[in-house]
Amino acid sequence: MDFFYKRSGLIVAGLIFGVLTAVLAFAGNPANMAICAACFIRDVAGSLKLHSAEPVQYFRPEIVGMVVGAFLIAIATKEYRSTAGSSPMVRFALGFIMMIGALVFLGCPLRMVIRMAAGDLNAWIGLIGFVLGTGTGAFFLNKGFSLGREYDTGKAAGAVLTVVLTLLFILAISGLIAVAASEKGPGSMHAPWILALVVAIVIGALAQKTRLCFASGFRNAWLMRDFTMLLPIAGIFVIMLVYNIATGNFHLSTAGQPIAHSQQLWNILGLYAVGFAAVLAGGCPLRQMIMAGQGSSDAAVTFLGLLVGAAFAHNFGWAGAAAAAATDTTPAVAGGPALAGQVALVVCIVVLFIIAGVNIQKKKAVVVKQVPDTTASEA
Amino acid sequence: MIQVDARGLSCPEPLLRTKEVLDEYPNEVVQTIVSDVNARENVKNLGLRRRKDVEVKQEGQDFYITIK
Repeated sequence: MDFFYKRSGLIVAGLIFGVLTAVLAFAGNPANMAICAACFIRDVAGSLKLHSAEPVQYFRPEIVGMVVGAFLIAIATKEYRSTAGSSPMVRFALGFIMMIGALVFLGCPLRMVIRMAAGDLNAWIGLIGFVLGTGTGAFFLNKGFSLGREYDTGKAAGAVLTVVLTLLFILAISGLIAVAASEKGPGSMHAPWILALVVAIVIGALAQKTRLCFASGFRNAWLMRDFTMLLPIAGIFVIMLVYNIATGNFHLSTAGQPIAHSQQLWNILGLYAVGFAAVLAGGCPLRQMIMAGQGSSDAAVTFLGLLVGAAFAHNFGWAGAAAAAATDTTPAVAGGPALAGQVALVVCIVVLFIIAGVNIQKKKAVVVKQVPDTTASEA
Repeated sequence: MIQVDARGLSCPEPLLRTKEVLDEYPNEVVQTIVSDVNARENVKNLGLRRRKDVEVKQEGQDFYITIK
């Protein structure tokens, strides 16, 4: 398993992740949304009737699969560790803000890469915001930002999210609870559930092994000029680029892109909030699900923040609208966030600066002490 | 030897705090304690990038990384 810590292993993992993404795209997931942490958590929120936006309601097996995949591999490799206690409510807020930013842009960093690989120039412009957001987070980390330590808890506590998602999924699939499911729109487009579940379990396991994180790739580049964690992201990009060209889905433009808009200021600010919040929270939305699977209750709380954020974004009209060309019966839609969404996002970014500022530890959170050198005699 | 107890901290804090101590005490042996594999790999690679000897020891679920 050490293979996946090496550069070659990270590239191979990225390529496998890319192929699995292409499988989901081919099997029926929405255009340029083969897999997306934010969009799919939003769909799950809709299916559980936390919001009532009819086009985006579906209990995505991918969300369950990724958490379960990370859980299973962590158990198998003895990396499962039940922990909690590192500023949970701040993490809830960071999850909430990540979701607002992602839904203004229309995608998490993973979907940003998938959209970039389809020639969507709006995503390339949004990337500027993501890079600047992770850079802002890195600046505060260098200043001593910390949410404090997490501590070991009873073994079962770390498995709560995995168990709850699994149970809800079984209840939903068997019809014992009447979850909502879109009849049109992105929520109605999906791969067969068993395929989606199995593929997502493999993706979850792979992401756990490689520590794949869209925020840490850019964060490490800012902090240490270390580009290693960008390698798996490059792998996903290359495979999806090939897939899109081969299937005729590659269109280099800002206009006419599926489930996207060209309000570039809001694309940039949306992903700026995601990048900034993800660095403060120690991982992008995908990474939060993986950490939750391997036993972190703090990451599970961040997941709840994402879920509730999605409900707010659709209940109060903060999410960006997709652009649409005029048809015989409907006028053209420019898309992007309405005024309420713009205000919400700006407030979220202000809150991020407050969270970053008040959590700078003057006395660093680590204990540094002088101890006798015992390693010399052991060597 | 300087010991850095970075258990339970989110990434990349264990790495950053180790880096600060390495910068401050360039001639000392530095040992960082971390509680997950991700942090272990990051701190290990930091030592290797600085062309130092790195030793990793596991105790329970914690890792002791000695950089000298």
